[in-house]
Amino acid sequence: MNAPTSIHEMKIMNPLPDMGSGPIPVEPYISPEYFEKEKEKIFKRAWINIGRVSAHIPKPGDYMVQELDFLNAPVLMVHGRDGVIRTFYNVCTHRGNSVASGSGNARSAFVCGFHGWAFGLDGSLKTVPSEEQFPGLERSQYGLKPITTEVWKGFIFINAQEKPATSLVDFLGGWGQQMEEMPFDNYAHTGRYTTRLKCNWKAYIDAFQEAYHVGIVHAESLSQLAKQPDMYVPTSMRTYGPHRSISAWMDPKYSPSPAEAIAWKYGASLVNPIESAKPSAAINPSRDGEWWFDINVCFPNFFVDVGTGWYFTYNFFPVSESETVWEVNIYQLHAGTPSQKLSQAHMGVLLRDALYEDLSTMEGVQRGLSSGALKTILPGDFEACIRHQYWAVEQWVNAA
Amino acid sequence: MPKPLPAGFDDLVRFTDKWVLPTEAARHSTRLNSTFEELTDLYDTMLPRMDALITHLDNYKLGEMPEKESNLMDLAFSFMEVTTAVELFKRAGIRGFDPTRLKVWM
Repeated sequence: MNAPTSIHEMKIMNPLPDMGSGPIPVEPYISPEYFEKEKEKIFKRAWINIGRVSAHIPKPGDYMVQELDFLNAPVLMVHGRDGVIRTFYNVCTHRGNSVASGSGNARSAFVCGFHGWAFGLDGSLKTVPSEEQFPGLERSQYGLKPITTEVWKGFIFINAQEKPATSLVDFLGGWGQQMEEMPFDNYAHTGRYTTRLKCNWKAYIDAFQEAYHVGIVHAESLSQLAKQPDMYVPTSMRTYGPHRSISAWMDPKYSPSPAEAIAWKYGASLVNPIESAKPSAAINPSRDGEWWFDINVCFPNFFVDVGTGWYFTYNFFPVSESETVWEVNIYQLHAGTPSQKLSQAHMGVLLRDALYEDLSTMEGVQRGLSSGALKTILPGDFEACIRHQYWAVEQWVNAA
Repeated sequence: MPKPLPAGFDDLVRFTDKWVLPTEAARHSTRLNSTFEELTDLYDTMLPRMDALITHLDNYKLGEMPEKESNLMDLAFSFMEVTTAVELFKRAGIRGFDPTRLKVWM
């Protein structure tokens, strides 16, 4: 029996690169050698998002430590008293101990717990107990080792190169321009989740840049959307060098559940494009009447998904060819009233529980791919983002 | 120990000991460790009260609520927490993924 012809079309809004066609190889998803190449050629060259100021280090003095396996390094993000966001290797320049752990607010210094060396929030070496045993110590040489850091619209990016080939703005290019008008600062940080999964970072990403899975994976959380014809067709796709963006649509005849109806009365939940809550220029680039949200993928591993009254981000931090740390952050318009805040709570719960459904397939996929049973996988026409990611990764891995 | 609620919401006091919780992490954990009957009881009782509850709370400012209103707000957050379980999944737990592997930070 033939499936009905799609009533929606995926508009390709700018020319696609030559990404090839047909099956794509499994090897990049399972090979330790390929992973090493990705670390060298992608993760140590590209601008990598590691956080957002308002979510992770909102106030001067705030700091957060992260283990970044793709850099093989412990990293310290600091919101300086001067307002500057800096990132350092969390490594005491005396004999290598960490100078901070977890997150918090440092009044004026990071004091190493081994011998008491103290570093200012700008990384400079401030105090050395029993300094006389380091005659001629050149303090300026012994500050915390900085990592190149730039902030774009409140998002913190690092680059492993001391002098990156391109600035952050140039790296983001058209992807950044698409969201230039997005008032990210109007949104409060309302949810944060992390998990560690036995899944390759690219296989993990693939699940979130197509709508084909919605009908099956989200049959419970999004049952009405799951039944709408052409759920799997994104309305439009844009590519910006290695970055990409697609838009998802929803059936305007969607009928809310009783709790959802309460949420809709007082705000915008996950599925409800309220006119008044829509930001203006930065969303729905293809101006769809049935628009739901945009999925904006910043190469290599960072998503900024923008809807009505909310946006959320995903970071996929690779640990190995078969393991990834995932971080989700949800942001919603600053709530002015208890009713708005409660409405937003519904959105957060529904999104989180839909994400649990997404998590149900990942490790099975990785197990299947690593078995060697398949030499290739087959992205469909509406899974073009998967093909684009494969193309972009290959470009960077094979670059000189 | 039951926690106090504003006048007119005495019917919800029986839920306060278990469900007045300060964070999403606590509410989520409590939901996962409840029976489906407990979740349904909370949902069925609170659903018809939500409009009255919200009307009452909107007389107050976020972050500046007296204790009784703050308790009512937290109870309403717990209502929202259990809605997906009762309306969509028909179960208290999570299918297909061990929820203890998801760290809820807020």
